[in-house]
Amino acid sequence: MSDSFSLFLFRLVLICAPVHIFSQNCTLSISGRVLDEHDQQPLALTEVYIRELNRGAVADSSGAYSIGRLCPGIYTVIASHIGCEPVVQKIDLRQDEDHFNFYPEHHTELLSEANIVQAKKRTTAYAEVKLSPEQIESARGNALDDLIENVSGVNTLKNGNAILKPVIHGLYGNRIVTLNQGVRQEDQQWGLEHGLNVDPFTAEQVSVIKGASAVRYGSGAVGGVLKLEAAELPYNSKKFSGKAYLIGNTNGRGGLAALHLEQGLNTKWAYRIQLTGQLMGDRKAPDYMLTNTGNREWNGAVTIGYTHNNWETQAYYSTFNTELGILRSAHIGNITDFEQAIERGEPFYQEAFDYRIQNPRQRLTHQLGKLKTTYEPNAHKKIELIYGIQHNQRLEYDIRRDSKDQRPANDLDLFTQTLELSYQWNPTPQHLSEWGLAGLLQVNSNNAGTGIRPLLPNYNRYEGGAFITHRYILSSWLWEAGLRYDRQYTLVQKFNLQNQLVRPEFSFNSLAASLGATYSFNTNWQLSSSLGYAYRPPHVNELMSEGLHHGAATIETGDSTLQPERSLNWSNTLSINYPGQWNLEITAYVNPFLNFIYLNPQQEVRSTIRGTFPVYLYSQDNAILSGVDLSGGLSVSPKLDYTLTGSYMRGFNNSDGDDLILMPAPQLAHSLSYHFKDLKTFKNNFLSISQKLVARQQHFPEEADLVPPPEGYNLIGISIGSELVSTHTKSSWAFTFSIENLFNTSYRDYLNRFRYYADQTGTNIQLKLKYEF
Amino acid sequence: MNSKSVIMKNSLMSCGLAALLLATACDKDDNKPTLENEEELITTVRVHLEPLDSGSNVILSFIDPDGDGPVSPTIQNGVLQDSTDYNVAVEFLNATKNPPEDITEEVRNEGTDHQLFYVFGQGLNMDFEYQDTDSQGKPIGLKALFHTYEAGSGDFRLILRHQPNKSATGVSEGTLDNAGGDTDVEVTFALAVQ
Repeated sequence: MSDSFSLFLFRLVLICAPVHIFSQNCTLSISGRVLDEHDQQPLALTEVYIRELNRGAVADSSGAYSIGRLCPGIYTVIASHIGCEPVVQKIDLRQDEDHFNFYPEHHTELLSEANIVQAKKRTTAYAEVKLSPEQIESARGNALDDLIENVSGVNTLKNGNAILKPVIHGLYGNRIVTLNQGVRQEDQQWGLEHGLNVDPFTAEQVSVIKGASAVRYGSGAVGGVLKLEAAELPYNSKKFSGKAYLIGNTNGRGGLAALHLEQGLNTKWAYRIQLTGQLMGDRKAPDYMLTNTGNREWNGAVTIGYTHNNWETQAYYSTFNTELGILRSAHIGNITDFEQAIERGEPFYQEAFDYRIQNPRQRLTHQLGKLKTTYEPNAHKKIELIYGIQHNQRLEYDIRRDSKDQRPANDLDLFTQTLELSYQWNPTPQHLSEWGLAGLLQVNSNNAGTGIRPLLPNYNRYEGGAFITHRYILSSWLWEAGLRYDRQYTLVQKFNLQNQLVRPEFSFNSLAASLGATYSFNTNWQLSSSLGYAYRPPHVNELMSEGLHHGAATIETGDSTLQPERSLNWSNTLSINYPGQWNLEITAYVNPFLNFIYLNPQQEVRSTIRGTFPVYLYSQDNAILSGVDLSGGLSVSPKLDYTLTGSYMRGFNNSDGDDLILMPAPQLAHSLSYHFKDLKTFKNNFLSISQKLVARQQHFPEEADLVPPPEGYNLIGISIGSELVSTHTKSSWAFTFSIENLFNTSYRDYLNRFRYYADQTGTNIQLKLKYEF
Repeated sequence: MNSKSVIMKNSLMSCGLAALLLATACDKDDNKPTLENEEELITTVRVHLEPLDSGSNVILSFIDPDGDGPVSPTIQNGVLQDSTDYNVAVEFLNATKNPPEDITEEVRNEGTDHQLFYVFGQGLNMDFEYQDTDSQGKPIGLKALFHTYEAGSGDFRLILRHQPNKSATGVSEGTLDNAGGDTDVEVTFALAVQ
C-alpha cells in the first residue's frame, strides 16, 4: 500500500516536475523498477540496457534493476520484456538516477496518469517547453489554442473560433516557425485572418521553443518554434492498436470524431492511420447567436515505415480540409460601418442557430507529403534526409455586391518543396553535434477569375541554408551553440495600378546564431541562460501587399524598400523542483529588434467611392519586447495537486516610445485537481477546477488601435473524468465531462479580431468519449 | 568509414534532388499572373438632378478610377435653387471597362439587397422621398424626389448599403440609423442652395 502510494506520488511529481541532476565522473548509476503498466506488477527478468554502451542489467523478482559505472551524458535506455513492446527512454544523466522506472505494455496514454517520458526534464539550455501527454490528451477535440496555451508565454491570435495562429512572447505569423512532422509548415501566414492549417490530432508530441535560440529551424524563427510531431512507429508491436474519440459540444451543437490506428508487421514494417472529422454550427455568446460561425473539417494522415539494418524510411501523407464561416457582422464596408458596429455594441446580424456556412467564409486545404530516410550505422552517428512537399489552397469568399456571385474573392495556391539533410554525431555521451543543409522552393499563385485585384502577388521563392549545432555536457554544465546561414531569392510578378506587369526581385542573406548554458546547482535548482541572434527577411506581404481588409476597414500597403529585421533574444530560466512537494519555473526575457516590421497608421485617410479608410503602411523601427513567464505545481496531498501558469510582457516601439499593438495582456491560469481512489474497474477518476484570469491590456498604441482594448475577464471551467479499464482485453474506455465558461460570462479578448463586433462564446458543455485498445 | 561513404551518397542524392527541384521551377513565365477584370469596382457615381418646374439641371459626380488606390477622386459639386423640387436619378458605372459597365442596372435587379440613403448635413435645408421600389415594395432609392427650402450650404452624403434591414424602424423612410448592412458606396458632395 505504502509502496503504491509512493509510486503514485512519484508519478504525480513527474507530471509537472523537471528532474535535474548533479553530475560526477563515470561513477553514476541508473536504477529503478520495471512494472506492468496496467496492474503495476513487477516484471522480473526484463532486460534493461543502454544502447550507446551496449551493456545493461536484468531486473530481479521485484522488477528492480541497476546499471553502474556511467559517465554523465545522454543515453538511450531500453527495457525489453518477453511478450512486451520494448520501452525506450532517453536520459540526460547528470547524477545518480534511482527512480528510472519502466512501464512496458504502455499502449495506453491514460488521461490522468503520470508521464513516463519525463516530460519537463531539461535537456536543452534553450527555453523549450514540452507538453505532457496528459496536457495533449485533455486538449483533444478542442482547437489548437487549448493545447498550446498550456505553455506560459504562449497565446493565440484569433478571428472568431476557428481561425487561430500561435503567439510566442507576443510574436506571431511570419515570426514563428511551425514544424509539422519535421517539415516547416508553409501555409498562408501573412494575414491576421489566416490561421494555422494543421490538425492538432496528428500531433502526439508537442513542444514550444520560446525565443530566437532555435537556429536549426531556419530563418524567420525570430519569435520561436512550435513543434508538432507524431510518436515513433510501433515496429516491434505486432498488436493492432488504436484509439477512437467521440466528442460532443453544446455550444455550436456539434462535435468531432477521430480514429487513430497503428500496427507493426514482422518488426520491419509499421503503419499508422489517422482520421478526423468535425462539424460545428453557429456558436452562441451569452446574449446572442454568433451568426455564421460554424465550421466543418475533415483530416486524414497515413504513415508507412520500413526499418532494416540501421536504416529507416518513412512515407507520410496528410490532408487538412476545412470550411469555416466568418461572423457575418464582422464584414464591414468602410470606416463609417465600423464606427456604427462599435457603437451598436453587438452583432447586427443575429439569426436562429444554423449549421449552414455562408459568405464570408474560407475554404482551406493543406496537403503534406513527406519522405524521410534515416541511417544510423551505430549509436554515435545518424544521417537523416527529409523531403517535404506541401500544397496549401486558400479560397476566401466575401460578401459581394451581387449576392448570387459565388466566386471567391481570394483564390491562392501555395506550393512548397523542402529538402533537409542532417548529420548527427555524438562521439561520446557528452557531445552531440548536428550539421545540416536545407533548401526550399516555393511558388505562390493567384488563380484567375476572382474579379478582384489580388492583395498578395504571385511569387517564386528559393531558399538555401546550412546549419551546425553542438551540445556539450561538462559536469554540472550543459553548453549549447548553433549557427545557421540562409540565402533567399524572391521573384514577384504582379500588375501595378497602371496594369503593367512588373517583376521586382528581392535577395536576402540571413545569419542566425545562438549560445546557451544550463547550470545545475544541485538536484533541485537549475539555471539556464541563452542568447539568440536571428534575422528575418521581410515577407512578400510586407513588401508588396496593396489593398483593403474588410475585417477592419483598413487599407494595407507594403513597402518594397524594407530591410530584414534583426533580433537579439536573451532568455533566462530558473527551475526549482522538489519532487513530491512543489516545482517552479520562471523565464525572464528581453528581445530587442532592429528594423522591426509593423503596420504603421498613416496621417492620410483614403477617400474612395466606398467611403473613407485609414491607411496602414508596413514600416520599420527599432522595438523591444520583454516579459516574464511563470509556471509551477504544488502537490498539496497525494490526491490533490495544483498547477499555475502566468505571463506578463510589454512591447515598445523605440522610435516613438509608443506601445506595440496586439501584445498579450497579463494573465494567470491555475487549476486544482483531485484524484479519487481507484474503484474496481473505474480508474483515474478525477475532478478538476480551473480558472483563467486575463487583465485588460492597459498598454496599447492609441492611434493604431481602432478601439481601446476590452475589459479583463475571469473564466471558470470544471472537468470530471474516469476510465473503465479492462485488463482482460487490454482496452479502456475514458469519459470526460467538462464545462467551459461555467458562469456564461460575457467577455471579449484583445487578441481576437472579432472583439470589435461580438462577445466571445458562452458556456459550452463537452462530453468526451475515448476508446483505446 | 562506412558512414562517410553514406554521407557522400546521401549528399549526392540531395544535390540530385535539389537540382531536379530547381530545374522544374526555374521557368519564370510559369507563374505569370493574369490581369483580373475588376468587377466589384465602381469608379463613377453620378447624381442627376432635374427641377420639376423651371431651372437648370444639375449633375453631381464622384470619379475615382483607381478604386482603393492612392489617386484622389475627382468630385463635381453643385448648386441648387431654393424652394424647388428635383427629380433625382443616380447612376453607378465601372469606367475601367470598355464600354463602361452600368452598375445601376445590377443594383436595380438586386433591389431587395440594396438601398440608397441621402443624408443632408447641417446647413442644408432639404429633404427627400423615395420614388422607386424593389420586388417586395420597399424602396431602392435609385430614383428620388429632393425638396429644397430656404438657402444654405453643407455636406450631402450618398450611401449605397448592401443587405440592409429594410424592415427596421425608419429605414424605408430613408433613416440610416437602423439600416445595418455594409456599405458599397459612400460619397460626400458640397452642396449649396441659393
